[in-house]
Amino acid sequence: MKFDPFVLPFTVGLTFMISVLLYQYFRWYLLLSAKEKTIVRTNLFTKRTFFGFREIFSESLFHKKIFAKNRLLGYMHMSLAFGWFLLIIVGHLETSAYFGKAFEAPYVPIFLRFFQNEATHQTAQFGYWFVMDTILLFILSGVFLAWYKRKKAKKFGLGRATKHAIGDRIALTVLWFIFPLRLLAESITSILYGGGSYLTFGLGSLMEGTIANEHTFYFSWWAYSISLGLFFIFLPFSRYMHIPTEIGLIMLRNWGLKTEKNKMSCISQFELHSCSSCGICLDTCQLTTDLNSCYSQAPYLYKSVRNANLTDAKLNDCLMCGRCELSCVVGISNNNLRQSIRNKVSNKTESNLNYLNDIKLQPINKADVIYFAGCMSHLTPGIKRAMESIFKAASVNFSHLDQYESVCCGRPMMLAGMTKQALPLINKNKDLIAQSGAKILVTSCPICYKVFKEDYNLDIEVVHHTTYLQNLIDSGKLRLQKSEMKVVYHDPCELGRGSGIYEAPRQVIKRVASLKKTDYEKEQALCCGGSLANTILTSSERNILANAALKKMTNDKIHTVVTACPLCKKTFASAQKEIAIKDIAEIVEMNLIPMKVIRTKSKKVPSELLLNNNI
Amino acid sequence: MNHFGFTINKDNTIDYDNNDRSLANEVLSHEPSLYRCIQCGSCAGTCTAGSFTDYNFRKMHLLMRRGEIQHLRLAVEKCILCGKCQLICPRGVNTRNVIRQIRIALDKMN
Repeated sequence: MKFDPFVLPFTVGLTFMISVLLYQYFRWYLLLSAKEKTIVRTNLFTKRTFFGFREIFSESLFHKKIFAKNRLLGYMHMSLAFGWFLLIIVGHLETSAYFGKAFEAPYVPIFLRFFQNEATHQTAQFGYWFVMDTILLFILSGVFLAWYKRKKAKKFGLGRATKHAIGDRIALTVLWFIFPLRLLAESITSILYGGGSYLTFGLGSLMEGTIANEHTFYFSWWAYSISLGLFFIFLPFSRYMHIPTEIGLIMLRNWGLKTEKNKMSCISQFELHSCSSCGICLDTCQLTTDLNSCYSQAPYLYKSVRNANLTDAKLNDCLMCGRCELSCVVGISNNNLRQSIRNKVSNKTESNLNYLNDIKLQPINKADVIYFAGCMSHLTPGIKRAMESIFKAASVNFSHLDQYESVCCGRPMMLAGMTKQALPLINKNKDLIAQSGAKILVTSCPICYKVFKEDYNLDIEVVHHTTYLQNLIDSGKLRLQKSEMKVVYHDPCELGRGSGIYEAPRQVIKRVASLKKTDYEKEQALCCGGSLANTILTSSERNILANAALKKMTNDKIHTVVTACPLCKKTFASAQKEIAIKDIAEIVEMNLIPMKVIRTKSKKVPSELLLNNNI
Repeated sequence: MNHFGFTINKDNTIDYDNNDRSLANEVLSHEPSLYRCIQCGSCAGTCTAGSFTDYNFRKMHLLMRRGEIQHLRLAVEKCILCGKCQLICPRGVNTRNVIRQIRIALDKMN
């Protein structure tokens, strides 16, 4: 049996790592619901598994998506991942070629040059040595780039690199040492005992008579083994956990599992540990670019959850605009994951909304269409009035769901992690909607729209007023004139990235104004800064975000910004005075023909209603 | 013993020298923007929960400053976190975070 004490650190490290990984994965496996298990079982022996393996090759080894971001960064990741993979595969092939056995102890292929270095004068052997040297050179180029990236992140297309916790730093340092130590060990072996090709023999020749001797030979193999062992021990507790976990994530995703927003499920755990802290998302975050606040972004959040040192500010200082999700090369659904962490933290927070059962609201009139302005539209009443005018101009039989006092849709509470506690609000609104007998629910607020659409399970159609306006225009119910206004459109996060509605507002605006392009269209849209998801930002910081977003969108050339969210409108409008902020409903109302429709003044609240509500 | 048909009410004097400011101090340390509050009542005027109940941000702030923890607990659990008070606030108080921090501090007290 081939054995030497120096293989012990490697073997112990490897055994430890495998045990911890198996333990972790088993714990996450227990989180799979019966439904999820059925999904996996049905898709296990289908082409989805093949697609999974294909994705593992293209993403975990070749890092295709990182290549698309930046070639140098892609090469760095590929040389380390694919290079190491090749080193293991070719090492095993070489071992079985030498010893004629299919399997050897796991350390033999790793330390092969120690156990087998005599030349047998076979061409294949020289071929293996040449190939192995080339692969090692390939990986070393990646190690050099990784080190260089720490100094000059900008050359790799990164505005900044992630700051690492102490555990990650140690693992990183150990990783940087592994391959140079292998090179050293193989070079010394090459010159003392033979074996090796241009790289190891070449370097060995330089060290001949100086560094290379019996002691350094043995010492270097020990050092190589220790560095590998240490790396394996640190791997499950550092960001390098992403290496094995991402493979599992890709398979689960291909089998059809999706991250839930309300529960830390099995796939959420895989996502949490698949973040490699690469830092690509940091540059897309407006908190980083505009406020230079870099501590609460997804990589830092996940790190703190993994290391059990999560703080309230880290969890809640996020706009949840979804810009980072688009840039994530691992495809982690950051918003859902952050939401489920918030839910887990706040699910026991006390809340008592039972008073909603006893409140008396104005009766909801029966109508075909029911309009929910939302809390935010009550603070931007222009939107509400414009919608009323439009409904009347198009002769729509509509009624208000929240004409005087609104019951909140529940999403602000949900965003603060109190999903369970928001249930009375959802039930109350569901009752009110049922009372109306309407077939369509129109809402002006994308925040409400998203929750009505995704969490209410309503039987009726839910549309945002942008889509509704487009339908009215397409069906010829609204006659509009095109004004000479030059405007840019701001995609609200919840409507664009959140709900995928990009075209409807643009089509509507094009009918009434001249729509100019910006550098931040559709998925690339900026957040206004007013997001309800962030409870930490101060009002002045919100103003900075709003002004920066406006400046980027208008370039000081356009003086009207159209949006489709009352919160965006309010945030932008209160941050500055130079640029006019209009809701899409308002500019449609401005360009209605014939202008017979007179703005309806909001009616007085019936006095008996006020008395009833003074509980 | 004679019954005079009335009971002695529990003393509800608020002793400003001895009241419990610990919760208020903790909340203020996490959300210093509350120092800017001028108690104007704009928040109370717009409050969604306030249109249905006797809750409002201004009152809750007062209870917190007075250290009336039991009343505060009953008040704050009625908030829906809709954020209208934050948008309306002329002093830029981060009201939603104040509510969150009060809830966190109350949870800790439990």
